[in-house]
Amino acid sequence: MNDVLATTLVGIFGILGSLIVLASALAMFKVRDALSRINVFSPATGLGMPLIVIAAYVWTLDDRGFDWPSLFIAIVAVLCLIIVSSVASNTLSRSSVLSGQPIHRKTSPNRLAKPPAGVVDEDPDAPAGGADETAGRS
Amino acid sequence: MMRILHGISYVCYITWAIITGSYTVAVRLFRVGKPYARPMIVEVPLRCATDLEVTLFASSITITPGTLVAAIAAGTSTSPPVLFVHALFEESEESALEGLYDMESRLLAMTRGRAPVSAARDAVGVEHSARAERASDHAADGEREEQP
Repeated sequence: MNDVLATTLVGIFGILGSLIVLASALAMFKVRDALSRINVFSPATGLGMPLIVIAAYVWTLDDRGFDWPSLFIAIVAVLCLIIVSSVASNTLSRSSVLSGQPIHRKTSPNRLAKPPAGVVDEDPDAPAGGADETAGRS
Repeated sequence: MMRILHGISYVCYITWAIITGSYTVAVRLFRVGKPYARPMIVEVPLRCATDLEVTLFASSITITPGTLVAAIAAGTSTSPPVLFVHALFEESEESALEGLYDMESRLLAMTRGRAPVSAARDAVGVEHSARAERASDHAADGEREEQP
């Protein structure tokens, strides 16, 4: 591969990936609660890190020439970053909600706290024979 | 064959969603005088039926920057599984649900080979139909109790 082209591609992918990771880190300072911080971090692992892996692969391609193991490792690395990042974010967000972390006060609507409009929220654990049950049977 | 085509189309769609979502996260850093994000948690009753579909959909939502699955409610015989999705950059609850249902339709087209024919129900509709079924069950129980 042409050296100039390879260096340019490595620069573009590497710098773009690094800037996306930086943008995610800055965005984490702009939002206020744990859920939002987990949310804005996904560009770093979903796009920034794969771009850096692609930059590393292009550099290897230029340095050593094409071989199948390197391509396989690069593809597996990108797929793993995307899949693991998704599962990890899910786990983090669920643990954040279940541990009772406060949610930003301007979160609206918050369907975890309030039911949709027009729905009366009945307590399924209310004791049998309560007011609702009596009203329903009469 | 159709599943493979839908699968390729879905992968391209998710990749594009990741790129545009990352762009939104980065560009909003430079907005001056406006709030960075408009957080909301929306309720998404699913048309996904199997564990694989629900898992793929939840992972797809989470990997897209700007949306995150915060909680999952299991489905019952009368109500579908429900995802609670934390969205940051949507204008309204309706636009958030519209985007999520578009993604779900594309996902179901991949797993089932064709797009689902049933339109997505909103949370209010699901609650009301489940409530109506419970009420009819109660009525049936009442009739049975009245019979000697």
